[in-house]
Amino acid sequence: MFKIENLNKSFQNKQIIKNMNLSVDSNEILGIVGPSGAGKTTLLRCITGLESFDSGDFYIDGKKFDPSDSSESLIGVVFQDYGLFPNLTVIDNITLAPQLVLKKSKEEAENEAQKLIDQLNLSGKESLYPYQLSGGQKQRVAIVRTLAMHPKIICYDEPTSALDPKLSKEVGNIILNLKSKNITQLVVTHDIQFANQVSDKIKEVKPI
Amino acid sequence: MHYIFEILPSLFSGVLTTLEIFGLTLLISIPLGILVSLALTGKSFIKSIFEFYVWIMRGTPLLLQLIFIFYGLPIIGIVFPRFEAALIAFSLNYAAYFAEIFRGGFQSIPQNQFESAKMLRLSNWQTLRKIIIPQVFKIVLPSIGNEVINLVKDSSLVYVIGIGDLLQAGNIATARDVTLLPLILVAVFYLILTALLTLILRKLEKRFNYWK
Ligand SMILES: Nc1ncnc2c1ncn2[C@@H]1O[C@H](COP(=O)(O)OP(=O)(O)OP(=O)(O)O)[C@@H](O)[C@H]1O
Ligand SMILES: [Mg+2]
Repeated sequence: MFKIENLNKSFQNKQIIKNMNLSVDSNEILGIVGPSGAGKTTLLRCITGLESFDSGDFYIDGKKFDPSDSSESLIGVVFQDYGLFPNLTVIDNITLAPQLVLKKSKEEAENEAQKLIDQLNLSGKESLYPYQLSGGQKQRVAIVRTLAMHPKIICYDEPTSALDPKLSKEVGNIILNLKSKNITQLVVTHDIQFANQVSDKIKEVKPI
Repeated sequence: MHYIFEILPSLFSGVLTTLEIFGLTLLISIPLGILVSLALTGKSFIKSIFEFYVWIMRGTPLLLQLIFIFYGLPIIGIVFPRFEAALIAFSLNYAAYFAEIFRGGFQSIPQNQFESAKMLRLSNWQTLRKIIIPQVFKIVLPSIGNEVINLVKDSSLVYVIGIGDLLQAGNIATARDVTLLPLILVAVFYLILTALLTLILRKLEKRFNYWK
């Protein structure tokens, strides 16, 4: 279970998030919707420790944790622009951190990656570079790369913004399939239809 | 023709000295430049020290720096042998230029590369080595190439502190035998060196072309 209590965040005296509370069960998908500028991306950046916040408490399975402490791989994120490493092939993008951080052997990391690659329909793309992939393929590589670190929680920022309706549906199915892996997922989107497709519950954020 | 063969050995030994200064300077100044560029993007106090260093190195002639280290410093009791003095001057000077180039390179790496690496829990060093430096190298390679070519030619400045490089060998022969030929040969040697380097740099740039 993932829980946020009384999160406050402001940029230069301008409060963006005020006393926010939310709670998501393991296996659950929370859709986060709201108009542009409401603070959805900011919320994800606070959760992932990329942005500091003024006050608030975070819990995973009842245990308090500090997002800025990156010693455990609890939270993964799929950025809106994917953030793939252009100098590495698909397989290296995916296996770099498992090898360097989780200390897996190259073989072990690649075997595991290969399973995910097959599941997410990326077979045959292993040795391509990101510039050789379509937007949808890049996004799936980003998802596999995040999954390979075995996070308990995955956050997505606008996962469908660069995709056509058919691909959006596909990504929706990928997200839904991950429920069976005991992963809590937070999906930021402005696409209400997509939010309805994947979410168990929906949190609306409004500009203050 | 006979004359050319007579002076070639001295020119060759001059080329060796030139190459030695060139190679050692690169070997020292490129890593040093990377370190300085990291300091330049860092915190304010350390940053201003290194900004000062870069300002001095780029704002004064290399020739002055060379003379300062070899002829100037002994006045206050700091003595370096010729070759070491040349190496210090060249390395410090070129490291400053390289630092500026690398700083620009680091700054052009999108923020999301650092953030992705952080989310994957890569350490700062792992991020630099595997993600950032390869991308920076690709960006800075053309500018580094220009400096490398400049360095071949700049290395002739060691002449003023009495090091027997290629230019000195040619100049001595010309003065002694009153003929233009040695100087022309010197020019040919420099042209060959710079042409070879240009070729190598092109190859290197091609090797970095496997990704965009
Ligand atoms: N680094 C920053 N410094 C100052 N203000 C910021 C910063 N980042 C975001 N903001 C402000 O915070 C507010 C929320 O931005 P945020 O990106 O979280 O919105 P969003 O809900 O993700 O919008 P969108 O749907 O357009 O992506 C905006 O008003 C934005 O201007
Ligand atoms: Mg946003």
